[in-house]
Amino acid sequence: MNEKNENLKEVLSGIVGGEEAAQMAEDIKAGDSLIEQFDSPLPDAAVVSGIKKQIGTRLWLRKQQRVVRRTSEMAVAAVLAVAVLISMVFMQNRQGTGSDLAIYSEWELEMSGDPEYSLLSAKVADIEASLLSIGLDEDNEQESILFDLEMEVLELVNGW
Amino acid sequence: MTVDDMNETDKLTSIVARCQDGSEEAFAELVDMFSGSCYGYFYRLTGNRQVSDDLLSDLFIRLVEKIGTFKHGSFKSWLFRVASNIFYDYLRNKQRQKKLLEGKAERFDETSPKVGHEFEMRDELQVALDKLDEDTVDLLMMRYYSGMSFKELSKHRSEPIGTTLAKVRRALIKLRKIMRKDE
Repeated sequence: MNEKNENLKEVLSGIVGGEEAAQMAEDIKAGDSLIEQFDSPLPDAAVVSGIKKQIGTRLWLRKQQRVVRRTSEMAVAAVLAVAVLISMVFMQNRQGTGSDLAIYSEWELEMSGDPEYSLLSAKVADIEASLLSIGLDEDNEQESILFDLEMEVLELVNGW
Repeated sequence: MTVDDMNETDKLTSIVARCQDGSEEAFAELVDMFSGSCYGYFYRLTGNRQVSDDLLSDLFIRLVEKIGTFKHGSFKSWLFRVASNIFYDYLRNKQRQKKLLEGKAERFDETSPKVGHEFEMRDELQVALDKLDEDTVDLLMMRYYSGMSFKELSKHRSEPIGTTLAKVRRALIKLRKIMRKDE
């Protein structure tokens, strides 16, 4: 059964001296031929056929596992995509509401004693009122009002 | 390497590649090609038909899981390395069971696999191999059935080639002495 695809003497000569190598090769060959005299035990045909069936079952199970894994991966990906989509929509709707407003109120409360903040708030209120008047009174000369407002905003920004 | 050897190698390479793709037919071919030599290896190591049947089955089932990890080199050598691991797993389990059964000597005698030996087909070689230690039998049978070169064998055993050569030589001399074929 051993294919002996090597030159034993060559292998041995690289390790031990000439005579010793020859003796070792002879001992190994004698041992090999002794083993070769005996028939190798073989498995029953039923055992071999049973193994083939087991392999078939195992391969089928692996395929099923792969299908289940792929399906669950796709399901997870779909769930993630939906979650991202929902969170994006939610974030859009959330702007200026809920907790943001609560933070803003707290900040406004803290700044209420600041004179500069009071001045700025008054100016913003003026601009807001002017903008509202533009919307309500269409007979006004809107262009000049807008120009004035723009100037006010610029002054405000530069002054701040 | 002869033309026949090359054809055989090409054929095996193709079978292994198909096995890696999950072909049941290719696995069946692999079983037909190697069940004889692997069974011989297990039987010479254990001296027990039932155990050898189980180990052979374990080997090919493990192969289904492991064949994807085979990349290149001699498939037969790789296969026998897996077979050797399976045999040592079996030995470890056997030793664990033996420890569990210690102190219950009577029960152990009843359950020991050696009880079945009388019913086995035991030739002179098997009787002689039973007198050698497991590592030595593994070394001799691995070399005999796998066709590994001394270089491959020493690499598999993680020892210098000179050590492997000396061990094989000593083991074969001992085997001949046991069988009284050296006179």
